[in-house]
Amino acid sequence: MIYTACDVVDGTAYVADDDELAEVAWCDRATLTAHVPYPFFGPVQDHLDANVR
Amino acid sequence: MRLQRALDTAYSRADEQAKLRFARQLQADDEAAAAGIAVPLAIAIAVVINGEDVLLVCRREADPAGIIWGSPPASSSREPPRGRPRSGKPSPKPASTARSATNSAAASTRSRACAPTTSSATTSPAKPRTATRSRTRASSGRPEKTSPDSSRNSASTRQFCVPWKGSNERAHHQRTPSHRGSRHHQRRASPPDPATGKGKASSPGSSPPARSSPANPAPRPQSERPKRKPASRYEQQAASGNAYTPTPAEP
Repeated sequence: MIYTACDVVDGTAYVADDDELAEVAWCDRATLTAHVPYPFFGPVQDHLDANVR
Repeated sequence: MRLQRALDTAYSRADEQAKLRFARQLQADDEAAAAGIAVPLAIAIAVVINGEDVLLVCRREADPAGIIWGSPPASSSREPPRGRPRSGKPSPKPASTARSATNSAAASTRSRACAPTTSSATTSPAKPRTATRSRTRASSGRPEKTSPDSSRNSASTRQFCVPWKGSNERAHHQRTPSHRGSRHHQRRASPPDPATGKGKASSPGSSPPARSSPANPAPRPQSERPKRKPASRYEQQAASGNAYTPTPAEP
């Protein structure tokens, strides 16, 4: 399992596979906590803590 | 096509060290594939940041109480063979290969699920707790315990980490001890039987009693059942009330 830190270059995120995904969303800290109410893997959590407000 | 252009852009902007590492990775994979060596697969999860927001995807699941939000998958890639080198013969473990093939299909499916145009940092299959952001911006997670047999460990690890459609936060989530007492797990846990203290408690109406039929006769009461004749010496002594005394071994 590899986590990859990504930055947006251009374009808009969209659902390419309707069978698997319902929607995509850009989430701030509050929305992220509401959607994912559990801690991420340690380094990922650190990365999110440093970048997501 | 758009994603491929983004990957090309990311590759063109990468420094020479990253390009060299990428070339070595491809070469190792090609050599392993040519030699018929089973190559473990890796699942990449993209943590996409845009300003101060992070990208999440909502998966379609039949169970609305399940965890359906998570980070999108990035891509599927093959890890270089690790551990002791194997012979050039095909892998004698078809089960491991089958699992890898399954994960490969699932990973490629997931890579199509969401297509944000991103520039990703390079990753390395480093140990989870030693990965630092000063070396690479990517975090490589392998929270599972290691075993001496790395090939078996990687196969079973992958089977554990990717048993479902979606990102891996759920696998990590299920391994988190603090989550085991959450509502989601409690809801699925069955209370113990108050009579035996084991297993699922039987509720009235949950399992109706079996009907009597020629194929499935009703059980007779205990008093009507014929008593089985004790077979062993121990059982005979126990039935007569005498304590069992083992016969001393003859010289």
